[in-house]
Amino acid sequence: MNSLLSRLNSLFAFTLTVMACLTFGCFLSTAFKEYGAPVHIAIGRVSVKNMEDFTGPKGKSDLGFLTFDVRADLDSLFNWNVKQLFLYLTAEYTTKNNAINQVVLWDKIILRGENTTINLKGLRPKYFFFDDGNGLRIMVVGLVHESQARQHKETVEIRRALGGAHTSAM
Amino acid sequence: MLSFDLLDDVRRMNKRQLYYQVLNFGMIVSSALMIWKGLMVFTGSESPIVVVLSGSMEPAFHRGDLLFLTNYHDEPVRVGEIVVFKVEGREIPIVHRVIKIHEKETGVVKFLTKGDNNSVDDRGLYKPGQNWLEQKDVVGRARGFVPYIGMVTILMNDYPKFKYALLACLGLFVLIHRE
Repeated sequence: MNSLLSRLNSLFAFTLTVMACLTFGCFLSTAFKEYGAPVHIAIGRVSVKNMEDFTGPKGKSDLGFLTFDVRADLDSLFNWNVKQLFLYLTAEYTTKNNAINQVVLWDKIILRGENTTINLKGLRPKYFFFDDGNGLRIMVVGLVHESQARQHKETVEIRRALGGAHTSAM
Repeated sequence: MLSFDLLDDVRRMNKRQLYYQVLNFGMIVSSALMIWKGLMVFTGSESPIVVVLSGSMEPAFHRGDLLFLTNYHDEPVRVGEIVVFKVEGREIPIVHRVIKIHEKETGVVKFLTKGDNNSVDDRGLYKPGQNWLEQKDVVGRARGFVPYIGMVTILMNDYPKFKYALLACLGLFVLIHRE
Protein backbone atom coordinates (compact mmCIF):
# COMPACT_ATOMS: atom_id res chain seq x y z
CA MET A 1 0.00 0.00 0.00
CA ASN A 2 1.33 3.44 -0.91
CA SER A 3 2.07 5.92 1.85
CA LEU A 4 0.55 9.40 2.00
CA LEU A 5 3.85 10.95 0.90
CA SER A 6 3.99 8.67 -2.17
CA ARG A 7 0.47 9.59 -3.16
CA LEU A 8 1.10 13.30 -2.72
CA ASN A 9 4.32 13.00 -4.72
CA SER A 10 2.52 11.19 -7.58
CA LEU A 11 -0.31 13.73 -7.60
CA PHE A 12 2.12 16.67 -7.63
CA ALA A 13 4.23 15.13 -10.43
CA PHE A 14 1.13 14.40 -12.53
CA THR A 15 -0.22 17.94 -12.01
CA LEU A 16 3.11 19.45 -13.06
CA THR A 17 3.24 17.24 -16.17
CA VAL A 18 -0.28 18.21 -17.25
CA MET A 19 0.43 21.91 -16.66
CA ALA A 20 3.70 21.70 -18.60
CA CYS A 21 1.92 20.04 -21.54
CA LEU A 22 -0.84 22.67 -21.51
CA THR A 23 1.72 25.48 -21.39
CA PHE A 24 3.63 23.98 -24.31
CA GLY A 25 0.36 23.62 -26.22
CA CYS A 26 -0.39 27.31 -25.62
CA PHE A 27 3.07 28.19 -26.91
CA LEU A 28 2.65 26.03 -30.03
CA SER A 29 -0.70 27.64 -30.85
CA THR A 30 1.05 30.88 -31.87
CA ALA A 31 4.65 29.76 -32.42
CA PHE A 32 4.40 29.68 -36.22
CA LYS A 33 2.30 32.81 -36.64
CA GLU A 34 3.76 35.47 -38.93
CA TYR A 35 4.02 38.77 -37.07
CA GLY A 36 3.88 41.98 -39.05
CA ALA A 37 1.95 45.23 -39.29
CA PRO A 38 2.04 48.13 -41.76
CA VAL A 39 3.89 51.12 -40.32
CA HIS A 40 4.23 54.58 -41.83
CA ILE A 41 7.17 56.77 -40.81
CA ALA A 42 7.88 60.28 -42.03
CA ILE A 43 11.11 62.08 -41.16
CA GLY A 44 10.90 65.82 -40.54
CA ARG A 45 13.71 68.28 -39.83
CA VAL A 46 17.21 66.78 -39.69
CA SER A 47 20.32 68.53 -38.36
CA VAL A 48 23.68 67.61 -36.84
CA LYS A 49 25.88 69.36 -34.29
CA ASN A 50 29.41 68.42 -33.32
CA MET A 51 29.63 68.73 -29.55
CA GLU A 52 30.95 67.26 -26.30
CA ASP A 53 29.42 63.84 -25.65
CA PHE A 54 27.98 64.38 -22.18
CA THR A 55 26.43 60.90 -21.99
CA GLY A 56 29.70 59.18 -21.13
CA PRO A 57 32.57 58.94 -23.62
CA LYS A 58 35.01 61.85 -23.53
CA GLY A 59 35.61 63.97 -26.61
CA LYS A 60 33.48 65.54 -29.29
CA SER A 61 30.93 63.55 -31.25
CA ASP A 62 28.19 64.24 -33.75
CA LEU A 63 24.76 64.68 -32.21
CA GLY A 64 21.79 64.19 -34.52
CA PHE A 65 18.54 66.13 -34.19
CA LEU A 66 15.42 65.09 -36.06
CA THR A 67 11.65 64.95 -35.84
CA PHE A 68 9.45 62.16 -37.14
CA ASP A 69 5.84 61.03 -37.46
CA VAL A 70 4.79 57.45 -36.74
CA ARG A 71 1.48 55.92 -37.77
CA ALA A 72 0.58 52.25 -37.21
CA ASP A 73 -2.16 49.85 -36.18
CA LEU A 74 -0.64 47.00 -34.19
CA ASP A 75 -3.83 45.17 -33.22
CA SER A 76 -2.98 42.17 -35.42
CA LEU A 77 0.22 41.53 -33.43
CA PHE A 78 -1.63 40.74 -30.21
CA ASN A 79 -2.85 37.29 -29.22
CA TRP A 80 -3.18 35.32 -25.99
CA ASN A 81 0.58 34.68 -25.89
CA VAL A 82 1.56 38.34 -26.33
CA LYS A 83 1.37 40.31 -23.12
CA GLN A 84 3.27 43.33 -24.40
CA LEU A 85 4.91 44.87 -27.45
CA PHE A 86 8.17 46.71 -27.09
CA LEU A 87 8.36 49.09 -30.03
CA TYR A 88 11.58 50.82 -30.89
CA LEU A 89 12.70 53.07 -33.70
CA THR A 90 16.32 52.52 -34.69
CA ALA A 91 18.71 54.55 -36.79
CA GLU A 92 21.03 52.16 -38.61
CA TYR A 93 23.92 53.54 -40.62
CA THR A 94 27.53 52.99 -41.68
CA THR A 95 30.48 55.29 -41.00
CA LYS A 96 34.23 55.25 -41.60
CA ASN A 97 34.79 54.09 -38.02
CA ASN A 98 32.13 51.38 -37.90
CA ALA A 99 30.63 48.89 -40.32
CA ILE A 100 27.35 48.86 -38.39
CA ASN A 101 25.87 51.50 -36.10
CA GLN A 102 22.48 50.99 -34.47
CA VAL A 103 21.01 53.62 -32.19
CA VAL A 104 17.56 53.49 -30.60
CA LEU A 105 15.96 56.90 -31.02
CA TRP A 106 12.56 56.21 -29.49
CA ASP A 107 10.73 53.37 -27.82
CA LYS A 108 7.33 52.58 -26.37
CA ILE A 109 5.74 49.71 -24.48
CA ILE A 110 2.18 48.71 -25.38
CA LEU A 111 0.52 46.27 -22.99
CA ARG A 112 -2.29 43.91 -23.96
CA GLY A 113 -5.61 45.72 -23.66
CA GLU A 114 -4.12 49.16 -24.27
CA ASN A 115 -4.76 51.25 -27.38
CA THR A 116 -2.87 49.56 -30.23
CA THR A 117 -3.23 52.45 -32.69
CA ILE A 118 -0.25 54.80 -32.90
CA ASN A 119 -0.58 58.20 -34.50
CA LEU A 120 2.23 60.44 -33.30
CA LYS A 121 3.36 63.62 -35.00
CA GLY A 122 6.46 65.78 -34.61
CA LEU A 123 8.16 63.34 -32.24
CA ARG A 124 11.68 64.05 -31.06
CA PRO A 125 14.12 61.26 -30.15
CA LYS A 126 13.69 59.94 -26.63
CA TYR A 127 17.43 59.20 -26.41
CA PHE A 128 20.39 61.32 -27.51
CA PHE A 129 21.42 60.45 -31.06
CA PHE A 130 25.18 60.58 -30.48
CA ASP A 131 27.45 58.99 -33.05
CA ASP A 132 30.59 57.08 -32.11
CA GLY A 133 32.81 59.83 -33.51
CA ASN A 134 32.19 62.32 -36.30
CA GLY A 135 30.64 60.23 -39.06
CA LEU A 136 27.03 61.29 -38.63
CA ARG A 137 27.25 64.61 -40.49
CA ILE A 138 28.23 62.95 -43.77
CA MET A 139 25.70 60.20 -43.17
CA VAL A 140 22.73 62.52 -42.58
CA VAL A 141 23.55 64.62 -45.66
CA GLY A 142 23.64 61.39 -47.64
CA LEU A 143 20.33 60.26 -46.15
CA VAL A 144 18.54 63.52 -46.97
CA HIS A 145 19.86 63.38 -50.52
CA GLU A 146 18.76 59.74 -50.87
CA SER A 147 15.27 60.48 -49.60
CA GLN A 148 14.84 63.31 -52.12
CA ALA A 149 16.02 61.18 -55.02
CA ARG A 150 14.26 57.93 -54.09
CA GLN A 151 11.54 58.80 -51.64
CA HIS A 152 9.38 55.73 -52.30
CA LYS A 153 12.28 53.31 -51.83
CA GLU A 154 13.23 55.04 -48.58
CA THR A 155 9.71 54.65 -47.16
CA VAL A 156 9.58 50.97 -48.08
CA GLU A 157 12.95 50.31 -46.44
CA ILE A 158 11.98 52.10 -43.24
CA ARG A 159 8.67 50.25 -43.13
CA ARG A 160 10.37 46.91 -43.57
CA ALA A 161 12.92 47.76 -40.90
CA LEU A 162 10.25 48.61 -38.37
CA GLY A 163 8.12 45.59 -39.28
CA GLY A 164 10.38 43.42 -37.17
CA ALA A 165 11.14 46.06 -34.59
CA HIS A 166 9.10 44.67 -31.75
CA THR A 167 9.51 41.92 -29.23
CA SER A 168 6.65 39.92 -27.90
CA ALA A 169 6.94 38.09 -24.62
CA MET A 170 4.65 35.25 -23.67
CA MET B 1 -2.30 2.37 8.45
CA LEU B 2 -0.36 5.50 7.53
CA SER B 3 2.68 6.11 9.68
CA PHE B 4 4.24 9.55 10.12
CA ASP B 5 7.08 8.31 12.30
CA LEU B 6 10.03 8.96 9.97
CA LEU B 7 12.61 7.62 12.41
CA ASP B 8 10.64 4.39 12.64
CA ASP B 9 10.83 4.09 8.84
CA VAL B 10 14.61 4.50 8.91
CA ARG B 11 14.91 2.01 11.79
CA ARG B 12 12.99 -0.63 9.84
CA MET B 13 15.38 -0.39 6.87
CA ASN B 14 18.12 -2.96 6.57
CA LYS B 15 21.64 -1.96 5.51
CA ARG B 16 21.09 -2.83 1.86
CA GLN B 17 17.99 -0.63 1.66
CA LEU B 18 19.80 2.25 3.32
CA TYR B 19 22.74 1.97 0.90
CA TYR B 20 20.26 1.85 -1.98
CA GLN B 21 18.57 5.05 -0.80
CA VAL B 22 21.91 6.84 -0.38
CA LEU B 23 22.89 5.71 -3.89
CA ASN B 24 19.51 6.90 -5.17
CA PHE B 25 20.12 10.31 -3.60
CA GLY B 26 23.57 10.46 -5.20
CA MET B 27 22.04 9.60 -8.58
CA ILE B 28 19.54 12.45 -8.28
CA VAL B 29 22.28 14.97 -7.41
CA SER B 30 24.62 13.77 -10.17
CA SER B 31 21.78 13.70 -12.73
CA ALA B 32 20.92 17.31 -11.90
CA LEU B 33 24.58 18.29 -12.31
CA MET B 34 24.85 16.44 -15.62
CA ILE B 35 21.70 18.11 -16.96
CA TRP B 36 23.07 21.52 -15.92
CA LYS B 37 26.46 20.91 -17.54
CA GLY B 38 24.74 19.53 -20.64
CA LEU B 39 22.64 22.69 -20.90
CA MET B 40 25.82 24.77 -20.58
CA VAL B 41 27.35 22.95 -23.55
CA PHE B 42 24.13 23.06 -25.61
CA THR B 43 23.40 26.77 -25.02
CA GLY B 44 26.99 28.02 -24.94
CA SER B 45 26.18 29.98 -21.78
CA GLU B 46 27.76 29.61 -18.35
CA SER B 47 24.29 30.20 -16.84
CA PRO B 48 21.64 28.76 -19.17
CA ILE B 49 18.84 29.47 -16.69
CA VAL B 50 18.71 32.61 -14.54
CA VAL B 51 16.20 34.23 -12.21
CA VAL B 52 15.24 37.90 -12.53
CA LEU B 53 16.00 39.58 -9.20
CA SER B 54 14.83 43.15 -9.80
CA GLY B 55 12.00 45.06 -11.44
CA SER B 56 14.20 46.99 -13.88
CA MET B 57 12.77 45.12 -16.90
CA GLU B 58 9.09 45.38 -15.98
CA PRO B 59 6.60 44.88 -17.55
CA ALA B 60 8.55 42.45 -19.78
CA PHE B 61 10.09 40.50 -16.90
CA HIS B 62 9.07 40.64 -13.26
CA ARG B 63 11.00 39.72 -10.14
CA GLY B 64 11.08 35.93 -9.89
CA ASP B 65 10.72 35.16 -13.61
CA LEU B 66 12.89 32.33 -14.91
CA LEU B 67 14.88 33.16 -18.08
CA PHE B 68 16.30 30.72 -20.60
CA LEU B 69 19.54 31.93 -22.19
CA THR B 70 21.76 31.05 -25.12
CA ASN B 71 25.14 32.55 -25.98
CA TYR B 72 26.19 31.56 -29.48
CA HIS B 73 29.19 33.69 -30.44
CA ASP B 74 28.52 33.51 -34.18
CA GLU B 75 25.30 35.50 -33.66
CA PRO B 76 26.17 39.20 -33.31
CA VAL B 77 24.56 41.35 -30.62
CA ARG B 78 21.91 43.66 -32.06
CA VAL B 79 19.77 46.52 -30.80
CA GLY B 80 16.54 45.43 -29.11
CA GLU B 81 17.91 42.13 -27.82
CA ILE B 82 17.69 41.36 -24.12
CA VAL B 83 21.12 40.36 -22.82
CA VAL B 84 22.39 39.10 -19.50
CA PHE B 85 25.78 40.60 -18.73
CA LYS B 86 28.32 40.58 -15.95
CA VAL B 87 30.15 43.69 -14.82
CA GLU B 88 33.53 43.60 -13.07
CA GLY B 89 33.09 44.14 -9.35
CA ARG B 90 29.49 42.90 -9.34
CA GLU B 91 28.61 39.36 -8.34
CA ILE B 92 25.12 39.20 -9.81
CA PRO B 93 24.56 39.41 -13.60
CA ILE B 94 22.16 42.05 -14.98
CA VAL B 95 19.32 41.47 -17.47
CA HIS B 96 18.78 44.53 -19.70
CA ARG B 97 18.01 45.51 -23.30
CA VAL B 98 20.58 46.69 -25.88
CA ILE B 99 19.86 50.25 -27.02
CA LYS B 100 23.01 51.13 -28.97
CA ILE B 101 25.71 49.21 -30.85
CA HIS B 102 28.82 50.10 -32.84
CA GLU B 103 30.51 47.31 -34.78
CA LYS B 104 33.90 47.56 -36.48
CA GLU B 105 34.80 45.93 -39.80
CA THR B 106 36.72 43.32 -37.79
CA GLY B 107 33.52 42.27 -36.01
CA VAL B 108 34.44 43.82 -32.66
CA VAL B 109 31.23 45.12 -31.09
CA LYS B 110 30.69 47.63 -28.31
CA PHE B 111 27.19 48.23 -27.03
CA LEU B 112 25.11 50.04 -24.43
CA THR B 113 22.20 48.65 -22.40
CA LYS B 114 19.21 49.98 -20.47
CA GLY B 115 16.44 48.50 -18.36
CA ASP B 116 12.96 48.99 -19.85
CA ASN B 117 11.74 50.29 -16.49
CA ASN B 118 14.78 52.55 -15.90
CA SER B 119 14.88 56.18 -16.96
CA VAL B 120 18.61 56.20 -17.79
CA ASP B 121 21.07 53.85 -19.50
CA ASP B 122 23.41 51.48 -17.64
CA ARG B 123 26.62 53.50 -17.71
CA GLY B 124 26.18 54.12 -13.99
CA LEU B 125 26.14 50.35 -13.39
CA TYR B 126 29.29 49.58 -15.36
CA LYS B 127 32.67 49.74 -13.66
CA PRO B 128 34.14 53.27 -13.29
CA GLY B 129 35.46 54.54 -16.62
CA GLN B 130 33.62 51.87 -18.63
CA ASN B 131 31.25 53.33 -21.22
CA TRP B 132 30.46 50.23 -23.28
CA LEU B 133 29.97 46.51 -22.92
CA GLU B 134 31.73 43.99 -25.15
CA GLN B 135 31.00 40.42 -26.23
CA LYS B 136 33.12 39.04 -23.38
CA ASP B 137 30.78 40.64 -20.82
CA VAL B 138 27.73 38.77 -22.14
CA VAL B 139 26.55 35.73 -20.17
CA GLY B 140 23.68 35.03 -22.55
CA ARG B 141 20.68 36.30 -24.47
CA ALA B 142 17.10 35.79 -23.33
CA ARG B 143 15.26 33.28 -25.53
CA GLY B 144 12.23 32.55 -23.36
CA PHE B 145 10.89 32.79 -19.85
CA VAL B 146 8.54 31.21 -17.35
CA PRO B 147 6.81 33.72 -15.06
CA TYR B 148 7.35 33.68 -11.28
CA ILE B 149 8.83 30.14 -11.11
CA GLY B 150 12.06 31.55 -9.70
CA MET B 151 10.36 33.02 -6.63
CA VAL B 152 11.56 29.98 -4.65
CA THR B 153 15.16 30.95 -5.48
CA ILE B 154 14.56 34.51 -4.28
CA LEU B 155 13.02 33.20 -1.05
CA MET B 156 16.04 30.95 -0.53
CA ASN B 157 18.42 33.88 -1.10
CA ASP B 158 16.50 36.18 1.23
CA TYR B 159 15.95 33.56 3.95
CA PRO B 160 18.90 31.11 4.16
CA LYS B 161 17.16 29.13 6.94
CA PHE B 162 14.32 28.36 4.55
CA LYS B 163 16.86 27.03 2.03
CA TYR B 164 18.50 24.67 4.54
CA ALA B 165 15.12 23.48 5.85
CA LEU B 166 13.93 22.72 2.32
CA LEU B 167 17.13 20.85 1.43
CA ALA B 168 16.95 18.87 4.67
CA CYS B 169 13.33 17.88 3.99
CA LEU B 170 14.15 16.81 0.43
CA GLY B 171 17.18 14.80 1.56
CA LEU B 172 15.19 13.10 4.30
CA PHE B 173 12.33 12.33 1.91
CA VAL B 174 14.68 10.67 -0.59
CA LEU B 175 16.33 8.63 2.15
CA ILE B 176 13.14 7.32 3.78
CA HIS B 177 11.00 7.07 0.64
CA ARG B 178 10.44 3.44 -0.35
CA GLU B 179 8.58 2.07 -3.35
